[in-house]
Amino acid sequence: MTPPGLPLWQAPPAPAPRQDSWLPAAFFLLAAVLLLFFRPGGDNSLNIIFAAIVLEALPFMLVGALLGGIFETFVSRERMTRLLPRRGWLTVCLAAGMGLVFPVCECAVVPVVRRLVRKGLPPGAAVAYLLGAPIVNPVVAVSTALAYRLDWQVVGLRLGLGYAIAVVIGLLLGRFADRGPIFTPDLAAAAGRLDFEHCSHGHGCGCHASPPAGSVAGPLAGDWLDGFLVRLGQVFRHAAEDFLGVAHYLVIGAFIAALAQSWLDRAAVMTLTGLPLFSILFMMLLAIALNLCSESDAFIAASFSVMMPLSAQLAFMLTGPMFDLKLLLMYQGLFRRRIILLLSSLILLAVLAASAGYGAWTGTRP
Amino acid sequence: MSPVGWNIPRWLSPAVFGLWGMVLLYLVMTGRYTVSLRPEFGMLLGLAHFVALGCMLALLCVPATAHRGPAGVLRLLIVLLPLVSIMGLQQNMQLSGQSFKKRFLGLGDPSWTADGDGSDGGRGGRRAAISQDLAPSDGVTERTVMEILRNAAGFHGQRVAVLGMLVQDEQILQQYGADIAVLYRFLISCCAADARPVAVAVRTPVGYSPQAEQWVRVEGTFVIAELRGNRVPLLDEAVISPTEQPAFPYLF
Repeated sequence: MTPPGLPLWQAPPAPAPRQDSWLPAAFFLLAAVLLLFFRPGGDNSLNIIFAAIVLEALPFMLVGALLGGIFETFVSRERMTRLLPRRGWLTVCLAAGMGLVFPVCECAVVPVVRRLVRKGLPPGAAVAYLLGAPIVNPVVAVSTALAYRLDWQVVGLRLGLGYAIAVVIGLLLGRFADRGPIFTPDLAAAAGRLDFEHCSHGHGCGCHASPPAGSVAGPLAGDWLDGFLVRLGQVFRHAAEDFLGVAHYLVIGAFIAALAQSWLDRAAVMTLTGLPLFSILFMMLLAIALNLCSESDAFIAASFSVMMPLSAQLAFMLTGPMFDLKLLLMYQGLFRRRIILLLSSLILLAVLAASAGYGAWTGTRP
Repeated sequence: MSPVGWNIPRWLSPAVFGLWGMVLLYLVMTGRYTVSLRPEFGMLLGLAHFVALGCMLALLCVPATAHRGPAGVLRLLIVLLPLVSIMGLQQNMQLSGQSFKKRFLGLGDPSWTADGDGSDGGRGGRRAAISQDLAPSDGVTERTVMEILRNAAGFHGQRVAVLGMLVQDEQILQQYGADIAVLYRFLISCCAADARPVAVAVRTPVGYSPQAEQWVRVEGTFVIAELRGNRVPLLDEAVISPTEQPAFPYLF
């Protein structure tokens, strides 16, 4: 509908794109270059560790982005939504584990959940998928297994506890949603309406284009090779957009982690981790600050294996995919503010309880 | 139509992937990534190289919509920052002695003490010969620190040769004694970020002072000794000779 006061031939003005400040990025670049290239005493450790963390995580980021691109291109979300029961605890339980067949990292999951909510996914299930998918997915399982040298106990604990937390919080927020809306007003209003305004890429990609003229059953039914190449291009384009959307967070996180690795005296840290809960809280704070991708954060957690108990490493691997600084910002496009506060508190409490409970139960030390 | 040079974000996004793809290929072909990673990561980096090139081609055909404006360009530059760091890595680079000091948690690692037989062969052990310029004796099998620590009981009393770096500082002297240095190598699970030193004590000859960042071959009799109340793995009667850095400085 045309807003009042505008002539009929004039399109409504598009909302001005948010201009990010360039100062933080410039400051980071300057500081990183200074620290990397003007190091005292020619110590190469910061360079080596920074390169190690990035090189280790990069293949998983790229392959994860590629998988996301494949699913985005070849699997319709409507079909996936149809597979779920519309209501009830079963929906929440299924949605929390849906990352196993639709793997996305925490950065990619927010726009996906927006799309699913618009298509009518129940709120509890949407929250469960939002929290569960970045942990309960095969890419995260493989990267965690590699980071922990095929220690399947760690993989099972991470995925199991992540799934349980997602289900519990999904059920709680589902009950909360029965009393009032939890999503942003525009999202709640648009639920059920199909549009592509939140597509993260330009529409020149052809993802949403109609099948070519003369095609009977889509592009692959005509010229098979052309159709395949078009689809392949869409897959890589989605992957590229997803990767570029989060890669700078990885680099910044890797640099901060490398600084910590280079400067922290492990003997001193080990004395602090003897305090009850300190190591868990410390690792949770670190996960929030580092903003690492769930597909690569296991390597960072594993690098603390000689300094922290497994319960603290689990806290790191459970917190990051569900709640960190960048997610706090991204959740603003999904939930009302009071719900963000509630969701954040629930996540932190649940991770703390699960990790501390595991630590108390096993008494595991590095 | 604006010149290419003014449309930086249009070309910078595919350039990011192109540069990453080329650097990944270079790292895999030269094996230089082993400065930071386990050798097995070569396959993953090779796969990542293909994905990066695919992304580059896709963005060349259809430009990326994100990363507009100065903030977007700076974010892309941040993604390129590791390339500068990686290309600065030399094949013979390794974690420094400072890293050892930051990560060293002592010689009493419980992972090997369970295997040790607890004998006290090193207490009051024999003083090492003046050794730095002595050639290592023949017929001694070269072992890694990890091999010895994992089978401490099996190696007890045997003559072994071990490669590593020697360090001797105030803390070590106070903790283990005036004639003790620590021979170490870094053990990594995945990458240099999780490197941790595995070490044995070495009873050094009188007047011997280890050089920083110097690889040495230490031939000695392996015992589990008690040094100032600490049960530690020790190479006694040591013969120390400088040597070249091994192809893989890390243990896996």
